[in-house]
Amino acid sequence: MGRYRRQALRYRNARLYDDGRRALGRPARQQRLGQPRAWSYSTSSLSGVALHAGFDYYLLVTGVGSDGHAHVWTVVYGDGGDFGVGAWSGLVETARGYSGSQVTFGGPSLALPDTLRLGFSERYAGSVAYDRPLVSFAPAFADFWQGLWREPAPPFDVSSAHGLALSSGGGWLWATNAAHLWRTSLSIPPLDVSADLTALNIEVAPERGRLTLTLRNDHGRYTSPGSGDLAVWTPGAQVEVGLGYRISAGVETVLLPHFWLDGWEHLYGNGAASVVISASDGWGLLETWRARRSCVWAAGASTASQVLTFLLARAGLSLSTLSASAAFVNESPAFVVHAGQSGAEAVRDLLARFADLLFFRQEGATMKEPTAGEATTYTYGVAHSLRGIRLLTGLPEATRLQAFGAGVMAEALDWGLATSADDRLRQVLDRNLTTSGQVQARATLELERRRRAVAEGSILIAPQPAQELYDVIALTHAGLALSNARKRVRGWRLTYQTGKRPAYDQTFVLGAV
Amino acid sequence: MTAEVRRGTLRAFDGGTYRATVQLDGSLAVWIESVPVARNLPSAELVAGRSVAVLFWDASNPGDAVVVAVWA
Repeated sequence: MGRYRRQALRYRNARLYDDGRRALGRPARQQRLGQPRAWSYSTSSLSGVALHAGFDYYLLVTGVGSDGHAHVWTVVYGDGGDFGVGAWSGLVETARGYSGSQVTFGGPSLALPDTLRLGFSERYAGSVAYDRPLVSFAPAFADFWQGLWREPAPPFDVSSAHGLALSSGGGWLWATNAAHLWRTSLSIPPLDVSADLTALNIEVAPERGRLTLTLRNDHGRYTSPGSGDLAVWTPGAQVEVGLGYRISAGVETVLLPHFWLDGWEHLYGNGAASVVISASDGWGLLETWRARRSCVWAAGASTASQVLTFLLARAGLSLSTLSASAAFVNESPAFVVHAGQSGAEAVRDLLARFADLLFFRQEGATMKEPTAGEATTYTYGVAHSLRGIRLLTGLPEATRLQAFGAGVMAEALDWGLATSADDRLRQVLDRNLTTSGQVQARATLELERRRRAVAEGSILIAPQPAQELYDVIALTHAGLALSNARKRVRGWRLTYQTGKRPAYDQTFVLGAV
Repeated sequence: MTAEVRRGTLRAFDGGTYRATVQLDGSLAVWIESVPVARNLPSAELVAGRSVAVLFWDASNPGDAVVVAVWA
């Protein structure tokens, strides 16, 4: 095979190489090298292979597929981890350049300094041409074989036809090309601003989360973000907030969903100096991410769950599931994200087809299917007193819902309201729905979604930081004749303030279970 | 489901199926395949490289779209 070895890599006695069209491997556990085990994929030509040995052998491959298009693929060569020794995983596409688009790829590189990181070069031969190295990383908890990567992006101002070789050592991530060597620290120390916090406001609602925190700056410590002790303080930096109480046993806190810095302002006046920091939760990351190509899923290609996982990963977010509807896990609708469209808009479009709800925990997204029988997580109005309560009664947007698919239609009615309210009709059109069962289920979930969206009031309490968006809670209030009345948390606001008018309050916005 | 019209460039046309491959504006490297083409557009006018208008009846469903105009 020697004459075919354009690129060969040896690692832990395994050999992986390509013969120009295929990747071939010899497992490490074969004591004597036998016949190479080629993958079964048909490709036109390969332009590069990068390898990292983890639980299995992870490969990043660039080249042209049998479809004539340029690709960047990830693939696993098994070593007894997730895949059997000598077995190949499926090819997962990371990037594609259509034949005729003049976009091709090369210079792949893989490294595992902290999380898996990849790099490759994207070449555009049109006008204006470029050779642009791109790098990316896998979100927390993603397995290599899943092919989940944050959107590959240029790391800094460099042009390199062969990409950047990534490696790590000594606490640094290193990047090299033929002429240069760069490094960046993997361990920038976090900055604890707790002692200077004078105000904190957090608002979490469906599809939006915002944080502002105010720091005293009369000592001038926060005058030059991004340098010295404040090196970590840059736009996009992660903000972690732990809230709780000082009790007899010490300080107990709960870590809230993470936020990411949007910006800050320095304020001077009236004998005071402060810095006000603004940040957004995962929805902000999704809003920032914009598709740079048409991302198309044909009907039957990927489940909604897989599409959502891909979209979140592109913004650097992972996905975990508390519960999920059968439709969300099993249905594979045709779906497209257009170039220029935001990740937030795409996620909203996708989730609009399902009952499932998305919210954030720390650095990842979490899914849950709301159900009428969902367990109550906490009770307010007994041991945890209510500082205030506001109850609202209203009508949903629709009491009758018609769902139209491709040649099928079904409707759902809220008979409990149909006699007292007008016939509030709403229609949903979705050609992805092709069976009577699908349109019936869609009509039911759309009606249910509108019922849950009705505002039912709010409560003001001493903060309960462990309570999450979409939790079911119980309320007891003698004056309003409420006894363990079940509500769903549709949003919350938290205020912390020191100074002349100190405050530590939380408001839950309520909806129907 | 919101309808929207997007502009693109015709990259390929199959007169048998009357479907097209279209590069929507903003998508440098990836094109959309098998988009139905309005039958009132003469196949002789569907030349690769011409501009097209694609009507998405459902903006997020690539299977619910049609090429409605060709020019240039």
